[in-house]
Amino acid sequence: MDRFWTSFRRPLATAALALWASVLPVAAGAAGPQAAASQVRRLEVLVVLYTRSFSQQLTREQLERVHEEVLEFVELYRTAAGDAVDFRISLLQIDRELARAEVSEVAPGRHYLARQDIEDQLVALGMLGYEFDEVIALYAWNNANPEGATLAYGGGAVGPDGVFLGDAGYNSIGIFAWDPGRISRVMIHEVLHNIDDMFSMSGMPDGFLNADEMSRNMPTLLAERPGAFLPHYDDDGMLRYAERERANRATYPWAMQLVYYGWMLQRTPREAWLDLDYGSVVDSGERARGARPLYERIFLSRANEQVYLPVVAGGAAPPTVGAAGREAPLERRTYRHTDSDGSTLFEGTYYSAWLDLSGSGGPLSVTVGAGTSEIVPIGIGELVAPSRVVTHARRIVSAAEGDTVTFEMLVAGPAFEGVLLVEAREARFGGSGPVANGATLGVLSGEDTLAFDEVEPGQFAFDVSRLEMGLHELILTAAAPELVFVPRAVDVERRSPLRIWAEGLLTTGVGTPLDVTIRIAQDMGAQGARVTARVGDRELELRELPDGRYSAVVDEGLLPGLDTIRVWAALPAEGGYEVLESSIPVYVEPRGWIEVPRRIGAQAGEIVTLEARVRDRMGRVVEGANLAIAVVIGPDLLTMPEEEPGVYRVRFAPPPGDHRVYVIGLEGSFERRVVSLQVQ
Amino acid sequence: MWCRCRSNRSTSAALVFALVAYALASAMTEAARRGAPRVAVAPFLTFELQLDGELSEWEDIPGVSFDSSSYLLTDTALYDGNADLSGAIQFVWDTTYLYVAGRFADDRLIGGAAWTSDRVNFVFDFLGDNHPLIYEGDAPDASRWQPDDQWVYGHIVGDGEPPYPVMRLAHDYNGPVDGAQLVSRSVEAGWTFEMRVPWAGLPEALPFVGAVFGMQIFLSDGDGVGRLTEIMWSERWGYSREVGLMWELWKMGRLVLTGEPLDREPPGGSG
Repeated sequence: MDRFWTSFRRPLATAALALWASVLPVAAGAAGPQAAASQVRRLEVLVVLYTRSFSQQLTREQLERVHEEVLEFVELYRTAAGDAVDFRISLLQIDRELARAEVSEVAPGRHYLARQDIEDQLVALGMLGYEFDEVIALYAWNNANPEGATLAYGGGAVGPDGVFLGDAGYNSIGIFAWDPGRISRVMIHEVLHNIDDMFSMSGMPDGFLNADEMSRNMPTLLAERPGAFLPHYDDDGMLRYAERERANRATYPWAMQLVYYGWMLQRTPREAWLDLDYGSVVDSGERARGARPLYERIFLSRANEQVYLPVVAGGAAPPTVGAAGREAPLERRTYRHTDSDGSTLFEGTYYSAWLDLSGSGGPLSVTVGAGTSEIVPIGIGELVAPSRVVTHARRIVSAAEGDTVTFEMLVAGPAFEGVLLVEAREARFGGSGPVANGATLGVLSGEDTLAFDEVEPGQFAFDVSRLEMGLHELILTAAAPELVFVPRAVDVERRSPLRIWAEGLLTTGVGTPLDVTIRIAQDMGAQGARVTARVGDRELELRELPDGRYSAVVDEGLLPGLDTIRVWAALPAEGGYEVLESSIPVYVEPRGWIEVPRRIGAQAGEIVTLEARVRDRMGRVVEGANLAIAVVIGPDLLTMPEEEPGVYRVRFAPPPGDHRVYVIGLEGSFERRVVSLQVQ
Repeated sequence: MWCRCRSNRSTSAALVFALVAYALASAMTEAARRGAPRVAVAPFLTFELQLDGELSEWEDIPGVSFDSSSYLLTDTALYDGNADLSGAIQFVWDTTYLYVAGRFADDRLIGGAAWTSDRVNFVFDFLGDNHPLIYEGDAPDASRWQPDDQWVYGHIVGDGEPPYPVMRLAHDYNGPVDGAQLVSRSVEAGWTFEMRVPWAGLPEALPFVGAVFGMQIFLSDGDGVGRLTEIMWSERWGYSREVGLMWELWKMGRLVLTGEPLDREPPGGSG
């Protein structure tokens, strides 16, 4: 594979471009009636760009790069099927923080922004009314985040199937988690899936090929386009390549995939596109040409003072972009669609500018060359709060005041000790949008409503010491005139910075010493503590080991079964000492040696009494444990209760003859004991 | 999920339930002391056994009973008492197989190999080594089970034509038990089944007189879509409609293999 890249990347890219170019006349020729030839299918596409998430904040340069990737995606489709389908694209820029909890966790720690994650907000922002056929969600992401959350997929497409934003197809791509060049590659691929579903939903299940079935369709591709992969692979060689790929022994470089995608777009007749139940049929003369804005509409938070305008090149280069007296010079730029190794597969020119919006107060219509773009400021609110807060509560017993108990808050977030601060703001690219005037806040903890104090307009505070110790999930909601807020979840854990815990399970057997070794640590460690414990009626004092652990051995007296060891630790603290408590489960397994007579003699009809004792590993008889001991006598099973301390008995009348009976333990680990019966 | 309902069918060999007899169960079960595990006894096989769903040869074998006093895991509103689901299960063994029989009152026999159809379930801890801390208190999914922890189950009426498979789920296996056999029969107001499972198909199970296995039993009674009832024998495991059964493998009863009557030769494997 490496050899392919280093030796053949440029010629293959050239071949791919040549293929698209050569097919355009073919597609036109397949168009059929003249009326149809003058029409194209127009699909309304919404690109939703989340510029900020819990793991990533896009820079201005990264935002510009995202739009460049969108341009490359559009260019591929225009080149391959522009005479049959036309994308009219709108942009919704969302600058509030996308919380981890908002992104579906499809496997532990692996996330994907699903359509149900964003639909409510799209509806609240009025997107339903635009009847989009396709939604592409691009969301800032960085796999190197403190929470260890990673993207589950490069991208994922679903629908349309009538259940999302009216009847729109959907795909989402986490951006800047990997090579930015992947954005357009994934977008090209995923939109093919959505188009495939549009054909299926329009009653043409075979009207469009599956983007994932390149190998399966390779014979057809080569039959229709012999030599499509020359000069690098002849058709036989390419068929063998496809077989290897189907066996998971090879993968296709992106350049090869582009040949396939270009072909599947080109071979789809215009009549089929025109028969789609999605979008609208427009005269090809209405199709945008010449220099024009990439986006038909741009929705963004009204708190933004600038908007980035990418402009598709064509015809004479426009010098400026502007509206209502706002002018900005257009910068000429170059996009390059590259393969994974950085080699350029196709490239082109475009223009862009940052346009000042300050004081515009409403929608702006921006004209560039042959097209216009509507800039629509909307109200997007943002609840600014940490997603997780850990507060430390310490129980200090005052030395001076005897057993007086006080609480001391040590840590809270983010601004004040012991106080959770929430701000209602308007979203803005880069953050720090203005405070949302007139905002009200609602907070739920389970079914309880928590009252936050409004310390300043749009700022709310809550004293977390009012919460019980433990983990609390707070659901924040806000309302403000003309702003759309998305609920935000905040986990508040109120705990001691220290915790008593045992290393491993505290288990032992009856009569076997129990090693109780604990640590006192959590967010900080503790040394010099006085540690005591109680298990059953035993009081223990744990000694501090050189490595900071605390340990004691319980050598006897533990009864079988599940028990609890209660541990107390007292640590020196300013003005007294800090008290910690914990209950740790202990399991004492019934275990030992059953002691029975080897033989019992009896007369027929006589009641036989069988006695058993259980000894522990030290040979001591275990008394008072009430162990589940039984005896198997032929097909029967009889219990042997502990009739006096350490003595288990059963009585029965065996038939004449020589027999064997088996004494067993029903719980734990006991050897089976055989007793010979001689009944005369 | 496809299921086949045979609720109105019965065989000419309809059995009258003798639940009273089964309530006698094993003396050990009834005599179980407080806190001790429930115990089922499997005597050594001493009669000629035909796997045909006709249970007359099992009359003298002790059993464990299930009725409205058993642990009901599912929605109480869906369980209509003993006529809805009650009965008993018996065990015998030889050196090749573990045999199980059961007769149950059930007002609707729902067929098909779906999770919502009628099913008998046995969960084993063959080494009897599970204890409350073994999984740190978590109900583990099968991938975390110990090798001797195994779930054996069979649908009373599976998919297609009989015989229906006896299935086994373990940490490293999910599929039919080779050589196992399940025969069921629809009877008046209920059903019976007989099943044999080869010891060779149950890893870690070593049969001998006096062997003690951890065992849990639960019955799944499907009465239509969204109407599943499950009752359990020894201790109650966690259950929720959303998640289903919590595999609290440390909460088990015991299955004890016993011998032949004392006036007969001891069975093989009793050394």
